[in-house]
Amino acid sequence: MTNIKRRPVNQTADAFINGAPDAAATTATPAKSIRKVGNQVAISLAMPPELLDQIDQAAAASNISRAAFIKHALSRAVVSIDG
Amino acid sequence: MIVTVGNTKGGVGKTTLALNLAVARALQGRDVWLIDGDRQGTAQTAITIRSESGKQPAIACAHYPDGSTLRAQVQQMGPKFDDIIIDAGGRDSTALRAALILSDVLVVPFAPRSLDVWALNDISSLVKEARAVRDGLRVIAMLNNADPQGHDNEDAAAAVADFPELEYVPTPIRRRKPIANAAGQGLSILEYTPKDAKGVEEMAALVTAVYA
Repeated sequence: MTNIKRRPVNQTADAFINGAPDAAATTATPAKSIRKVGNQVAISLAMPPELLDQIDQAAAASNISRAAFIKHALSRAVVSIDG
Repeated sequence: MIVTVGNTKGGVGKTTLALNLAVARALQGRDVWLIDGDRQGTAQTAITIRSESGKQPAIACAHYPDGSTLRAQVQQMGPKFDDIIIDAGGRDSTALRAALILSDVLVVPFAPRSLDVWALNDISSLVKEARAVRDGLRVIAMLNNADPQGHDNEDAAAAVADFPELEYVPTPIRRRKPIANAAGQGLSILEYTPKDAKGVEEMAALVTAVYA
């Protein structure tokens, strides 16, 4: 046994090839990254603070969470567009 | 045999040499595939000019600036050819790295200039990395655009000794206008008219050294 380890190197030919500076530019990546949370997908969404306040007030009035309120409102919106 | 002409430094004459090696082998009656791994695609342009002029022997040429594509294509189509010459662009790229994985021989051209010699450090490191994942890569460094006279050629050649990954071959190609003129027409110096006897001699010596 030795404590002196060799400098780590890319172990495979693929890793070596894709270690080049231009690799990122040529590797196909999805346009948007999608993060999964359980059976759902998590997205990041920006909105005006006033709208968020209104959402929170409406959610509190209905006694449901912000997330539940948003999902409920959006599913109704989607149905009305589809219908 | 798969030969790559490559250097992480640009402007050392890779494309011109790759074209000359490809034509030299084709003139020996071998089926040659020239692969342009440079995004600029100048080797392919030269071959297109050659094809359009109807010059024989014809040379197959493909442009694969993406390393994964290059590797897959060479693995699939390579056995159909006697010789493959890869012109890998003048920077660290996936194409150059794929070529280092595939090749039997890497030809590293460099000019007898300080900046060229310093840059040998980069390609030398890359060769070392490639050799960590594969066996049997022969790497030869040769002077290109060498001076017609003076001591700089010898000094530059001696500097290669600092890089144990590189084997210096004493077959310099000197700076010759006909070589560049020929390349612009998609021709090797070997088939250029008026004949440049010294240029032909130097190129023939390099071909022998590469395919030894």
